[in-house]
Amino acid sequence: MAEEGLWPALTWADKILAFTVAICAIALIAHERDSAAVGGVLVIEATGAEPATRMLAKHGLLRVMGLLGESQIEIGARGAHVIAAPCTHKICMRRGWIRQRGDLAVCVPNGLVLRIAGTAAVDAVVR
Amino acid sequence: MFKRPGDVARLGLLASAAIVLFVFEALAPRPLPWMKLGLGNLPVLLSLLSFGSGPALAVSSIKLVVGGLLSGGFAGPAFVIGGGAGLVSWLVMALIKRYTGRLFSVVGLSIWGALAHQLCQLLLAYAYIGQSGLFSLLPLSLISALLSGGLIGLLAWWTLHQLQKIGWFNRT
Repeated sequence: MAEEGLWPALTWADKILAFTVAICAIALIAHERDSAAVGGVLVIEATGAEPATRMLAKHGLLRVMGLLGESQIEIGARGAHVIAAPCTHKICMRRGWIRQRGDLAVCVPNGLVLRIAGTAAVDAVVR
Repeated sequence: MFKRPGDVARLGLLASAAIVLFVFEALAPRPLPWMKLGLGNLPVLLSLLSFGSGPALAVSSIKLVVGGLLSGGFAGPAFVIGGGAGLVSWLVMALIKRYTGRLFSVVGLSIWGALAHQLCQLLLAYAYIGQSGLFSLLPLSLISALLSGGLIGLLAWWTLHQLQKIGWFNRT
């Protein structure tokens, strides 16, 4: 333990570790930002079922069965969000609206992952 | 392991503090739903530095089991994922402390522990629900580990100094 002051508690190895972790996080975020845009499709991955997709333009209420029971997902102008879930802590509901490509709402107890994907890219327009 | 009179009482005090902090944090509102400071890890870190890896494992296990029972999540998926990650975090901190000497300070140890906790949590959650989309949380997990690990490490460093002033490390 260092004896004087709070800051000398950090060693050079600590600073290198913190710097490396920060750089990795920033690089991963920058990589995701490059491809970030308002997504067009909600991908619903429920444990034990094939992933399903739903266009974000098609507003409405979805009911998805998970490991614990039914989760309800609202799709509206602001994107998609979980409005009811059978889990204890409701972290998926507190996640709020997801709209950008790559946004996630996860409910681990109910085995549910909601992910926003982009619209299909247009390679060419043919007349 | 226990060289001084009162060491068992000191360890009991740390275990109690770990349970209280764990339950408090489970009930307190969070600024972001997926982010947790990991206050319960503070007594584990203090045990590791004061008594060694065995007593730190005891404090960590007591925190997980009693804290899980009190907060109502015992044996549920969140308990298994959080508990597994907590034990891996202890293991990583114990190994780093043992094999790197004074290369890393308390803050460095804490960041390693937080990193191990976050990465293990992601892997266990993936093993449980099998959805690779979870790994999109990796950058946020790294930032969370850096902030929470750094803050808990600084708190541990400050606490150790205060404990030293009141004779926590005295030989008698």
